[in-house]
Amino acid sequence: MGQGDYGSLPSLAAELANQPISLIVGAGDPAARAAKSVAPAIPLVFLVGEDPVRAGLVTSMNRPGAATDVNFFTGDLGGKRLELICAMVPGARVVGLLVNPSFGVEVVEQHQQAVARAAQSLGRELVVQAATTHAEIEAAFGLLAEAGVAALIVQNDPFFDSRRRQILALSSGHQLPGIFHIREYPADGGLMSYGASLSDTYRQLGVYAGKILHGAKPDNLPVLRPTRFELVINSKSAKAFGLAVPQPVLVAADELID
Amino acid sequence: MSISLHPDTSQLRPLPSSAPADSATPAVGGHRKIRTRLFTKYVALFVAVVGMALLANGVFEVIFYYREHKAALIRIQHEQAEAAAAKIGQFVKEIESQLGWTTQLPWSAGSAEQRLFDALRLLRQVPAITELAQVDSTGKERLRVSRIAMNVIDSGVDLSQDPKFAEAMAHKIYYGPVYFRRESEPYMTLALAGARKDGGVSIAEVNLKLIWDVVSQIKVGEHGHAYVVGSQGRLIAHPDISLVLRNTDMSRLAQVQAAQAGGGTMPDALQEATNIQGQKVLTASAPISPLGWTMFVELPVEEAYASLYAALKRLALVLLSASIFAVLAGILLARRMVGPIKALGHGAARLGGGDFSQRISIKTGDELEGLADQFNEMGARLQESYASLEKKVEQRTAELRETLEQQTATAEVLRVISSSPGDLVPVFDAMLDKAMQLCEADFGVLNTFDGQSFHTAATRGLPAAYDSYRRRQPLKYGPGTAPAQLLEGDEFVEIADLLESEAYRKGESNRRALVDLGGARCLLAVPLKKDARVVGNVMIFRQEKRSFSKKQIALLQQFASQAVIAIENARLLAELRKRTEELSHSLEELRTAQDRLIQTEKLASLGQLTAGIAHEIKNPLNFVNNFSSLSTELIDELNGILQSAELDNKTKEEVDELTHILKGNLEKVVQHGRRADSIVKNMLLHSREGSGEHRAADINAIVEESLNLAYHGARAEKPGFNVTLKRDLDPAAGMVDIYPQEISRVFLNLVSNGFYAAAKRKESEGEGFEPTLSAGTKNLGNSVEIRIRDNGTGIPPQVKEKMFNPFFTTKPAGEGTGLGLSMTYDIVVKQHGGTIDVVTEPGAFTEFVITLPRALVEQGNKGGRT
Repeated sequence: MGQGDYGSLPSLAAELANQPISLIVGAGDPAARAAKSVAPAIPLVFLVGEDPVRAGLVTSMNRPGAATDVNFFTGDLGGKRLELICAMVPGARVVGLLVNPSFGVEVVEQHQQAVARAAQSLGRELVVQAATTHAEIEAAFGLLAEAGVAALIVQNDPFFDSRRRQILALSSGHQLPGIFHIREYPADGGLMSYGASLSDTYRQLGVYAGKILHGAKPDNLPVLRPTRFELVINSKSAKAFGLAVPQPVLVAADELID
Repeated sequence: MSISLHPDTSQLRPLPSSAPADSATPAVGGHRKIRTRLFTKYVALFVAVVGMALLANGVFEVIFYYREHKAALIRIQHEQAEAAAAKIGQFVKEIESQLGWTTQLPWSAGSAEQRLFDALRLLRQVPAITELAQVDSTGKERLRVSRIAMNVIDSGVDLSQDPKFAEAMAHKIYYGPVYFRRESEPYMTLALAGARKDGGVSIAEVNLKLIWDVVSQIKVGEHGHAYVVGSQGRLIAHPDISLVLRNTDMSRLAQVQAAQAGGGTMPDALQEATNIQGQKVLTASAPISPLGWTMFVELPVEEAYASLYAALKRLALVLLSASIFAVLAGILLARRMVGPIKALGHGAARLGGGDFSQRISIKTGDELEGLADQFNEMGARLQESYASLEKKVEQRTAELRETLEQQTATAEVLRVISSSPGDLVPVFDAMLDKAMQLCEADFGVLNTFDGQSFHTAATRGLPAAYDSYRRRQPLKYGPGTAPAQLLEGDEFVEIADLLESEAYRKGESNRRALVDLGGARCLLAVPLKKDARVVGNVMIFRQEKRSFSKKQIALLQQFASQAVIAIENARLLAELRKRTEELSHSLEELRTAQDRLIQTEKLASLGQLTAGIAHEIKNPLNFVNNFSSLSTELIDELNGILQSAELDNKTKEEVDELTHILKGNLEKVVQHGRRADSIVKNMLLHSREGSGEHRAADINAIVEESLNLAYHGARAEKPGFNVTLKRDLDPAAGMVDIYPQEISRVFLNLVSNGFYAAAKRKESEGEGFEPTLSAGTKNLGNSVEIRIRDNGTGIPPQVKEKMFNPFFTTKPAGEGTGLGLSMTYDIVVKQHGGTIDVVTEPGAFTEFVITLPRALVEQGNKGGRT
């Protein structure tokens, strides 16, 4: 939906709301926000990475109200990702962060601050680069490389997910080992990822959508949070980046892709 | 067995259309009704006996099966709950044992790397642990590893006072209370102290959401499930994870309350309960030690009892088929039983209906066959006796009918007698009519006999020629005729053939006329007798030669005696009427006399009283009159003496004047004394005992005198009394023959009443009203009319009706005697034979008009009021 163009989401959501539908499924924070604001009365089940209570999408975690959520719980893992990439690339004094401001200015700001705090505690410098379009991603990588960044954190963002190949190509092109939020990145050649399983979460989303279509009230379906966060490392990419996986990371890793 | 009915075997079945209409139809109808009842009874009894046995068996089976099944269910559930509780316990124990590895090493420098390594490995191995902290034996946090937050080494946070640390140090292990992150995800802190003193404490935050993996694996029946409730009553684990994440409070459920009260195991009594979704479930629980949680397993009631219901259905099916079998068997047996009874009943019904030729044939070889034989015998007997009985009944009925007819006729005659007392014609007519009807006569006569001759009292159906013959001349019966024979004392006379009778042959005129003109061939005559004296006769005739029966003779005699009674009745009644009339006449006279006597008595006593008073007044009055006359003379004498005395002129003049006045006064005393004298005289005159002699008196003078007397009387009684008197006396009224004292009493009375009424109206109307009373006379030739009229209050109609009654008065108590007008009426009407009329209009006037005849008509009494 939206072809990665967040600006078109509200109008698309309004289009949906005008049709006699009994449920909207929103994948990703921007889509969820658009649907919620345009059609508050229609039951909504969505999947977001950020805290849905803070974003005003649900009333509370256990009694969500008219909309419910399968929480991806990925936004809060920025600090953990920084810790992991620093463990993986011990020599990186400067760490880069790629964000997409159109994901949500406040959310991005919070994410950025959390990562910055983590960097500070570990004594690393953080360079933040924003990108909202294909071209900007390209440019951002250039700028990050120029800034002497040795490791990269990519913000959880559906737009970025849809531009995965470009990002991964740029990452290897600029010799910038990166940590991402879903397994799909290391699977496609990225260095590593830490976060909930996207497929698990979508399956759960489907279950919730099915329950609502069978007459369950969204209010009776509490926000589901993931219990497992998987650490995936592509050992081939690690080699390509000239990195040896340290023991603690290896111990914690859930999957090693050869 | 063979069953048949003779003579017509086709009538075995109840066929109302083919059965004799007069008797068999109702009998067959009743028969069928009984058969149905007996049949139903047999079937019902059979079904009841068989059904009862089956039902009792079924019910016992159900009860025991239900109990056993339920006990088994409960047992299984308990076992399931305990097994499930063990699994949860194992889940926690596993985490515990994994955690145990991390407390093996003592805290010493350089081991931090290794410990982080161990901690990460633990997180990797135990997904339920979200966070792990390691605290050294002094309570300082040395390491914290998290899945979400960054790892921290040597934060130095002091946890020595925290129960997580203190409890774990004291008891080796510490299970923290269940808490809900963001009010949604259940967590528990699990702290474990190492075996060594310096091993420190590992504190793990366990995400209890993962117990879901365990509880969703536990199978309880088809649709049942297991769930875990914490010590606070919160749901910790449930196959429906949404319920857990909603932080559901289970403590209001009855089974949870019971289990918590019972230390984890609920009493058997609470097996059936409602679960959190509102379903009826069979539930059991088991404690999960040492966590203080409770494991529940529940199974929907429908599922739990499904096999029980299936067994019940099977049982119901068996019962139903057995019942149907019982009904069929019952019908078969009842049919075999009821068939012969039905045949018997049918035969008996026909017998009862009068068909005595009926024979029943039942060949069952048992008591029923014997019964049928007895029926047949009874039928034969009945047939025999019925024939003779019917004949007797017919004869008796005819006799009774005849008697009834005679009785009715007699009653009819008696009714006529009683309904027409004193009138003999309808009685004789009815009697003759009935006698002719019952004796089958063609015509008849009823004669009376007064001792010398016969008179026709009634005739019936006389041939015209004979009737006119009887009318032409007085009745005369010659010798040898029936009346003559009856006069001689015969009780009755019957002549069987008049043509052959001696009287006819001798040419007796009446007999000739009877036979030749009336065509009579035979006659029957009976006398009317009173005290052995013949007072008449009844004769009936037939125009054919046929003798009268004894009964008919007796009947005619009976009628004759009734006729005598009627005649006697009429006579007595006439006598009674006459006597009554005489009696009431004399009673009327007696009453009048009595009335007059009462009036006389009353007036006499009143007169006496008046006379006494007047007499007493007369004496002092005489003194007054005499002494004042004497004083006048004495003044004359005094004047004479003073004439001669030496007095100056002035004194003389004064004395003259004074004596003159004195004399004048005395003259007035004398004058009025005389007037009083005359009033008293009048009173005496008026009240003199007896009314004296009647004589011719001047009516005008009496009116005048009465007016004056009444006026003075009224003035004397009431000084302020004033009334205008008008007189209209006819000079031609002249002399009337009356009792003057009585008449003046009348006038006095009427005038006084007039004064009273006028004064009363004056009282109510005041100054503008002038009370007037007028008295007038008028010559009417042979009588005189006197009118006394006042313009007083008048007399209301209801008073007018009663005013001549003695003692009736409208005046206040003590003012009137109520005798005035009644006395007036007596004097005018009864004593003088005059009339008295009243014309009045209430509120306007009253006028009494009296007329007196000039010559006194002597009444029954001489007016002697003694």
